[in-house]
Amino acid sequence: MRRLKKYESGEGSQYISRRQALRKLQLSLNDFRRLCILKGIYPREPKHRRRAQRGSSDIKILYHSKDIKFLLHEPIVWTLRDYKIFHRRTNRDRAIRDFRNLKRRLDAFPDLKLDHIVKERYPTFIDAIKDLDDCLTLLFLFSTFPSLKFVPREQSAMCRRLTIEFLHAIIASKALRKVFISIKGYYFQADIKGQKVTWIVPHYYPFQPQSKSDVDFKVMSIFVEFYTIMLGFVNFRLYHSLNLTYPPQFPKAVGQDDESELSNEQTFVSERIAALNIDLLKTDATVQDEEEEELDIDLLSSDADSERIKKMKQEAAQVRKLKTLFKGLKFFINREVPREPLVLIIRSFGGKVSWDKSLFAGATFDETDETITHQIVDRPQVSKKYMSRDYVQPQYVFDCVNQVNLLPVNKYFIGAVLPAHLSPFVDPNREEVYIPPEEKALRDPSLIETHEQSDDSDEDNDNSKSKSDEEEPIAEPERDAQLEEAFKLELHKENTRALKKIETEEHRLKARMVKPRHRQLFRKLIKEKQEKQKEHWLLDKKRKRINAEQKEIKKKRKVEDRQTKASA
Amino acid sequence: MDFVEGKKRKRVSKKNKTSWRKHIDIEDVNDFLETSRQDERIGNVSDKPDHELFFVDTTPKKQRLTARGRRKINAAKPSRSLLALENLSKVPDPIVKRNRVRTKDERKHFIAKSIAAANAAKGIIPKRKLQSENDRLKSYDKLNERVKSKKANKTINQDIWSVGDVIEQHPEYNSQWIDKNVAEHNLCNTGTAIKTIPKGAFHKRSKLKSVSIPHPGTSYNPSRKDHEELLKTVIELEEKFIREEEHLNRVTTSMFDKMTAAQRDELRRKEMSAGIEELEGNVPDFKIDDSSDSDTYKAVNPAVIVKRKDKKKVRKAREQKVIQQKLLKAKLEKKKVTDIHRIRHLKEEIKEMEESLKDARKLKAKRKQEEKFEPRRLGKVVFQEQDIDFSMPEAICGNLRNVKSEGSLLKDRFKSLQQRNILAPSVDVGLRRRREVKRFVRKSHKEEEPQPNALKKSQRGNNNDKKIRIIDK
Repeated sequence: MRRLKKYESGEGSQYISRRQALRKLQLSLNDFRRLCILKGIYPREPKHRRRAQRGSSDIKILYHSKDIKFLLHEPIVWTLRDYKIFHRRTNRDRAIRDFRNLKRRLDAFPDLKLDHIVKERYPTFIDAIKDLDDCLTLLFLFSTFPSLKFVPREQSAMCRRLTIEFLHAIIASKALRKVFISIKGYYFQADIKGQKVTWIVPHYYPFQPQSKSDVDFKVMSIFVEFYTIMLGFVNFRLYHSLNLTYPPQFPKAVGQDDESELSNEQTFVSERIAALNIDLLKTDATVQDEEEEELDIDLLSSDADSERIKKMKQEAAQVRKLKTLFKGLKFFINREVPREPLVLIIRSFGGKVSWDKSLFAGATFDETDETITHQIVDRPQVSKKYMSRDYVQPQYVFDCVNQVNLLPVNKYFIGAVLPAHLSPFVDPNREEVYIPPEEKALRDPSLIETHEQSDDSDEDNDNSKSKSDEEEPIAEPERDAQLEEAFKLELHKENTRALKKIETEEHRLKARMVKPRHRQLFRKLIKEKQEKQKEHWLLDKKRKRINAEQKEIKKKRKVEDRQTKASA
Repeated sequence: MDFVEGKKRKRVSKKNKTSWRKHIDIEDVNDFLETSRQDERIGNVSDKPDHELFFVDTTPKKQRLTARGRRKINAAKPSRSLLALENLSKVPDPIVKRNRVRTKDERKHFIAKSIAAANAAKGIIPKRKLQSENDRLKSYDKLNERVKSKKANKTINQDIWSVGDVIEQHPEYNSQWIDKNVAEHNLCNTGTAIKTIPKGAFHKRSKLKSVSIPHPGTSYNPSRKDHEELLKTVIELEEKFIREEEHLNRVTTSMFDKMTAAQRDELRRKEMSAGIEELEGNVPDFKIDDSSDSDTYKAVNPAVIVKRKDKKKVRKAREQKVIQQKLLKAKLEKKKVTDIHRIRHLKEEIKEMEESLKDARKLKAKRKQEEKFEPRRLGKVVFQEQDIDFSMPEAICGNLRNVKSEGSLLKDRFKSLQQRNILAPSVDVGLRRRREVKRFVRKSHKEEEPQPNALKKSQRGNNNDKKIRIIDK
């Protein structure tokens, strides 16, 4: 065998510069960019740049030579080369104004077939779902675009169609878990096949100009081109797993009476589908929604009740509760309220929703309906009010979902100053950290309100009664709760020592079970936990002290007041 | 006389008969007489009948052609590129019987021509022509079909994940009796491509999440604490930028002395005329310091004189060296003995060293883990982190109707792709599009003004300043 020259083996042969790749593939730079994005081949950073660049030390864009070889076998390379010829021919037709030929050519435009690439990049359905974050965020964004230089109108229309279809699948599977309104847009998190998918939907504004200097529209459009195909396949699979017909349709009985209004049936159907307000047609109407998950967890729990299973059980219960959160509730959305996210949320948790007929197609009931339980309004005042329903601000719906609970409406009445909208994405570890009672109340109002009130009732119950008559009906169940707590405490008092002993024993066992290579980590975790607990305890103590001081001051002031009154 | 003609006099005397005749204007009288005489000769217009004065235009008006018609006529004409070949010369061809290639029509035999003409008169079309027409129609049909099927294929109607790999798609090879290698070999050699995907091709290049978790302070109605936290991070980042800029300013701009143009010119004049004054005679006193011995000549670079050591000195030096070596050896020996007593310390030292090495190793491993979250250097341009999106405290209004959105989602996505090593960061697209045009003024138009190019450059500099100012904000 011939002796290899310098850079013919090792890192020097492993990498290939972009220019070399272009020559090898016989493509223009634009086509190469497109091919790489579609195929999911990205540039690499070598370990030793000078060696990888065969001695030159400037910074080049490098690819793995094996990746480029992989691209070489791709059939769409031929289509990309066909494009060049296509453009040459159509340009000629245009120049000599031969429009008949031009039309014929345009009709026979060589299409890029990306199906096999989707399969190649995502060998399983789960792989595709794992990469859905990027896809959804981009498509939701592009669905708001008008036709731009590198974003043809069909592309944005396609994005709109696919995203709507996806939302339907989310509603049908009740997969939504978390929602958050940020200044960027609406964050949604859904649980699809056990994978957490997060996406952002931009705020609903008529048009936002995008500055061309920041973003390369051409590149983004290529990403969108691939993601539309991918989401199409994902939607198809999702729909079939939910027993829905894939190009979405709805049962015929729903909108027959309105059909005379719209001459074009297709637009009628697509409008209703875009409204997100009607259940889609099922392939097999007899199949009922089954709930297998619960069974699994129950079986597991009988084996052993370790922490993890307990946690899982808790989570499953939460999800079950979430899925029926708005069941039996009827919402009416006023104008000026973002319709789409609210409809998505309400419908995916079992509620019924409608809006003004003139606002958007697909309204199911009118404002005059007496069975409406909540009306969502984003104005300080409403001219006509119905007694039978609660008028709330849109944040109510979002907060209910994040706290997996129907919150008391009084904080969300129209015109009220809303409580802060907290992010559901903050890590649960944060619970260890000291949280001031004010924030706790924001997170879980039911928990802490009683606590504060019980303090009050201990100290000066006569005052609390005079303060507000609202608190009176709540007071009795509170007392019951207190009694229960006290009872529990008593029960525990007998066994605290034993319990502690068992706990320490368990802890020791756990420590022993830890593998030696994980011991360091375990110790670190324990230490961190202890530190956090200590800090928590210290801050709690401080708070108590401050509270007590304030109470003292209050008492003193009261006494002084009384004295002054008496003297007067 | 021409002197008189050159100036037209205002007043002329018409005293004599001759001068009167010379200067009087009789044109109108002449005109009148002329017309009256003409009338006498051929009569007045009003006397004539209509048919003598007017006539009916029977030639058709030139029709306005449509664009298409004009094009058709033009198409029939020989192309403009051939115009140059047309012989416009009046000189007759010297060769009277010039040989030329006959046209296709001329080449035809007169019998064949007559037969064709007869057939055409009967309405018989040659088979060849019919065939070609047929083929054309067929090709159009095929094309239409292809277009139709393409449109139908656009809707997704299959589950790609339910279809197995290549072997599973071929049932004849999908059995337990056929080895996978054999199946692949056979398929490969019967025209079915089998692709192998390189191992790391689709590995994720970064551990960053594609949609990062939003900071709680970016909520449209954030809690005070979260929002303050976010603002704090933003301020810290901004301060870092400002500090950096100040540093750069200090190290570059403010490092150099500043002077006015006049000062600069003065300095230049001084520098350039440094030696001239001396020549003129105002020689400054240089010689003061070395005027001690003015008689002896002293070169600027005196010759080096090698002083050889004498033998004694060499010997002494050698002896000293040996002594030094001996001393060193003794010292080392002594150290060995003491080291035996220092074993405990040494052990400690080794332990310390090992620990520090271990720490370094740990740090390196940690750094490596962190690097998985960082953007790599893919191209010439370095990745620049995106600004943090935040709302100012006064922009928070607490209801969804008036929420003011911050930051661009598209830019966020674009940056995220760059951060995850999917796209190589590139130059600002807006800047890239602008083409550099070299401008210059014609020699005839040149004045003492600055060049437009230089002017433009200074403007560009201003733009940069603006950008920096924006970053400041």
